[in-house]
Amino acid sequence: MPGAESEFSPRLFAGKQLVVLFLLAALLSAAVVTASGMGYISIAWSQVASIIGAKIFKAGHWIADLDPLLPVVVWQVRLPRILASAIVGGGLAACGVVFQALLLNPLADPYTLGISAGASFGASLAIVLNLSLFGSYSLTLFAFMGALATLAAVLYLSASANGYGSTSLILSGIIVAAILSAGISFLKYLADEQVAAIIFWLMGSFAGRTWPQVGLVAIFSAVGMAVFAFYARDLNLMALGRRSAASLGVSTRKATLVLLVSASLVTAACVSISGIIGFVGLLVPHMVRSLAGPDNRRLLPFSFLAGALLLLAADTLTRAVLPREVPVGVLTALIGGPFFCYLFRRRQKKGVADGL
Amino acid sequence: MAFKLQQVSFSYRQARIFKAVDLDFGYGHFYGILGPNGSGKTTLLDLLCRHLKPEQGLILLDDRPLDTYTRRSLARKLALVPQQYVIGFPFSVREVVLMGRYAHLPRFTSPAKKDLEVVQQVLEETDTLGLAGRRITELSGGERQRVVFARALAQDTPVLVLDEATANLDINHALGLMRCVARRVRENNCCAIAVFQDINLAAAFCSHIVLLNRGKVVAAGKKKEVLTGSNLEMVFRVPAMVRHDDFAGTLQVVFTHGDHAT
Repeated sequence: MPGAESEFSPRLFAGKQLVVLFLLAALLSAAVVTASGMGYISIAWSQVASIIGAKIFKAGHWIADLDPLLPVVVWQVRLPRILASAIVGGGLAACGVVFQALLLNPLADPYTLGISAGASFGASLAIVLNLSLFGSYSLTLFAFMGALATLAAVLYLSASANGYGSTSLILSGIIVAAILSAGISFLKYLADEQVAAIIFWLMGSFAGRTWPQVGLVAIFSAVGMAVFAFYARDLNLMALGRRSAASLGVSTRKATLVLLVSASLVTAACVSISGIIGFVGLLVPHMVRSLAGPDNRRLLPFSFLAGALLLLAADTLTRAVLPREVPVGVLTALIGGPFFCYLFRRRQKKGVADGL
Repeated sequence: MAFKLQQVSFSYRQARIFKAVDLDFGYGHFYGILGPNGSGKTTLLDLLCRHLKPEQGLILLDDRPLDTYTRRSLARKLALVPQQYVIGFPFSVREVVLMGRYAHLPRFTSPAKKDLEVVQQVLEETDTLGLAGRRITELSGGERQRVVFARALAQDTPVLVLDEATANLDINHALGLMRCVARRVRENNCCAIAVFQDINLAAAFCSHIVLLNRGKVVAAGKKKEVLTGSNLEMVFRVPAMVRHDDFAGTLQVVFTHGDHAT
């Protein structure tokens, strides 16, 4: 069957895929500019572009004849939120790819190891105890520390002489998450009027995000993506089993630990600034896999861009289009869930049982 | 000498699998590891592939301690055809076989012309060229087994380790795979070490046999010397006879079956 092989190419990004990659990147940039113009005050995209350009290149005279309110709206209010949603979406989607390959499980997502439960517990604790140790960033920092403590507990529980097996990692994650969610329930029970704040945080939102928060998640995502790119080929081999990968020359124990820790750190950074946003990390890798194939070296950049685009669109929908702001985590689950059902059903009908 | 085991011991929890095992594996020979269930055959392979570390003793590969190799350099010396493996992601067959070249490729480089040629050659050699464009997840168990075998051949190593590699194969492909291994041993002076359940397959293709029982080497050496009725009966506890079979053209073993249907 030589004809069936036309799609094989030793080059990583051949023809069509390279075009799609550039298209996604262009689309994302366009979406950032368009979304910055949308909202309570509508701003033309050309004005948005000149405001962003003026800020980046420190050319104040470009926007000298503009209403002085507009740069504040775009640069201080909208852009941090937009970039936060895009980076979090991209980060969660890329982490989803890594976790699915690492845990040998198509149902894994960035929250499988209980990172989200840890972050939620940390945030809830900060809310209930009314902690403001670190000023307005207390919530973010507590969520981040909660996520780190959870990761440490899960790694400690699942470590064995042969490294970190996928089943023991998943099991440890489920146990720790179960304990933590009981802890969150207890905190809600203790809390009086702060219950609303806890519930709101758990639903996930990008409202009122600031530049330092964008900076935090951007740094973690950038370093994480570099690590993922470095280990992407090892990840391909490990997706076919640890022993197999080891006999092909992968230092599986080291690669597993490095990937696990870095993906968890990226997830922790994302969750701590956004709350719990489900389905992006599970759904996007599956959607992209049908487009880019199973090779993680392609899957990672595609997933990052697609995830960024998706969450940015969802957040813009709830911020600027819907009559009342719905928490974005609720929105992604409400739209993503049924869409996932549709994709899954279509695939089941085609009879590809384990193609996910 | 490819592998040299010196006083190697290993135990799972309390149960001691190996006690002070000495074994040599040389180049240009095809070794068959035989023994009843639980005799330590797979543990021996795991020790050779460094999936397990011996508690005592030393394993030398090319006169160098096994644990001084990096995973990468080890993968250029030794390829494993495993018995069981997970394949949950729809890579194409050609991509899976190309993964065998991982240890020969520096990071961030595309496979060179030579790598693609090696892949093409092993696809032909293992009769999997027709599957090259298919997704590995769509293949049958036996077809996957052949692909995993092709991947091990693509590693292009002087040592080949097979863990019941023919268990899922029909007789035609089982013989074909064994002929491939035997040819590499003969032409490239490779060292092949294979665990068998099928004693007759080992009798047909191996030059040397290692008989294991309860973690001890009962006998090791040339096929004709080790593969005797008394040795097999002692290890497997079934009356056995070894003879040259004219139709098979090689040594074959027959067993007394006891009660059987007529």
